[in-house]
Amino acid sequence: MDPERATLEQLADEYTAAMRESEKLAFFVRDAELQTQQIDGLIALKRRIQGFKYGARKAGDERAANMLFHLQCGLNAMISFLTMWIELKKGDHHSAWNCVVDAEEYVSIALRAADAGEGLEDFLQHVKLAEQVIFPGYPVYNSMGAVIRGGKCTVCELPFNRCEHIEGRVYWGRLCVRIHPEIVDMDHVAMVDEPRDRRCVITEITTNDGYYHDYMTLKKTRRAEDKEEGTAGRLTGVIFHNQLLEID
Amino acid sequence: MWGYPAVIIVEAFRLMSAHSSYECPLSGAALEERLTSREPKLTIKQLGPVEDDMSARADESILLLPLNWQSAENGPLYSASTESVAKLFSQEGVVAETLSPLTAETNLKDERAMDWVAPTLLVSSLLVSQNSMAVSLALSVMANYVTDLFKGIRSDPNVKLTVIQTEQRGKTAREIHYEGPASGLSALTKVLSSRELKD
Repeated sequence: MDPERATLEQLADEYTAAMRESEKLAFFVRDAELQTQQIDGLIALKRRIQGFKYGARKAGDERAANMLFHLQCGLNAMISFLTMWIELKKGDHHSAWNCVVDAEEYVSIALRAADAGEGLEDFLQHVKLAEQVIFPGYPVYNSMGAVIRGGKCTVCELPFNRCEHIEGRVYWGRLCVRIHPEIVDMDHVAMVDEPRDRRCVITEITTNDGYYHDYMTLKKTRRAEDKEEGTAGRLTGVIFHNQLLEID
Repeated sequence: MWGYPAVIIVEAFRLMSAHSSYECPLSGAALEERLTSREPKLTIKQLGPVEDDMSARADESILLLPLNWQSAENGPLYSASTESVAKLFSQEGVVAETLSPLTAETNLKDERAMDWVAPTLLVSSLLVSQNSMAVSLALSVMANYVTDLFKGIRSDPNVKLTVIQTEQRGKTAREIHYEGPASGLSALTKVLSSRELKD
């Protein structure tokens, strides 16, 4: 069977149509079943676009590969945003929070991959507004400092110090990231108002009633340990989020 | 209680608005930018002499230093951005090198806050006076890189950069610490040039 062929323009049209259709479903009140079906459709389109991206790579066309990666990240952003609504309806607010951060980060990667109109910037504004309305906001996040060494480049898989690729840039439709570094020392965990990873949030906090409360829902989650002298309270949180976004 | 009764304030606004009209020159992203703009913080402190070898190398090219360059007892510890910045400098034609070779065994400090921590730079006043373009190009390359890195997340990301500037062949030095938006990095060129005649 001959492999499917398509031009960048045809794929961009398919992408635009899918994104427009998805926007109609990107509200809390839309049916979760319909949202799930839409996500399935977006995943199928994304897989096709990824396939064409590998084709562009094989043909030695880096610009086309980056454009297709832009579309792939745009679709991933929409998938994350629709998933956020589904997670909210399921009552999994922390997972919904991770989805909204994923959506924003996918847009950021897409914008780095290629400049392709202003559609994604408008979408990003929409996501940010939704975030502000839905979630109470976090005054502080956890931010870890570590001493690391080594690691490999996701573009060429060579040791990071031996390749020419620059972290955070997109090459041949793939984001350059340092993976698998050796963690030599966990230096500190700080509370900051602007972390690099906004998934590193406080999840529970104790109050004067002697219970831990979910930081997002404020519901009691469990009895707190006895208060120690000089301690105002206790909290739990995420200090490192290990999940990597789809970067290839 | 402080303040005026609300009714008086409303009346005052009514009277004012009868005589004046105002325009809102900024809106949307531009307004957001203005409301959240940050003034760069610049601190300068004098340091003692710098090793002859380092100072001599800094006359030829910008040196990327480890964070603990003054007392690297347990080996050098570089900022995690150093490898990428060294590659960028090389690709963009900035005359620069790291103080020691970066290997798979080199320790890197990875800060996971939103601020982008640049490698510490060592420049000599001689280099600044003879090749001022090198420094301004280095600053502009870093500013462009970090702006691109934070696309869609922050329009003018925060940068932390320390520059050590040697004078009189390393007999004296000063540490300039910049903390502020990437767009303000270029202003450092002027600060560094202000000392060039002393060498």
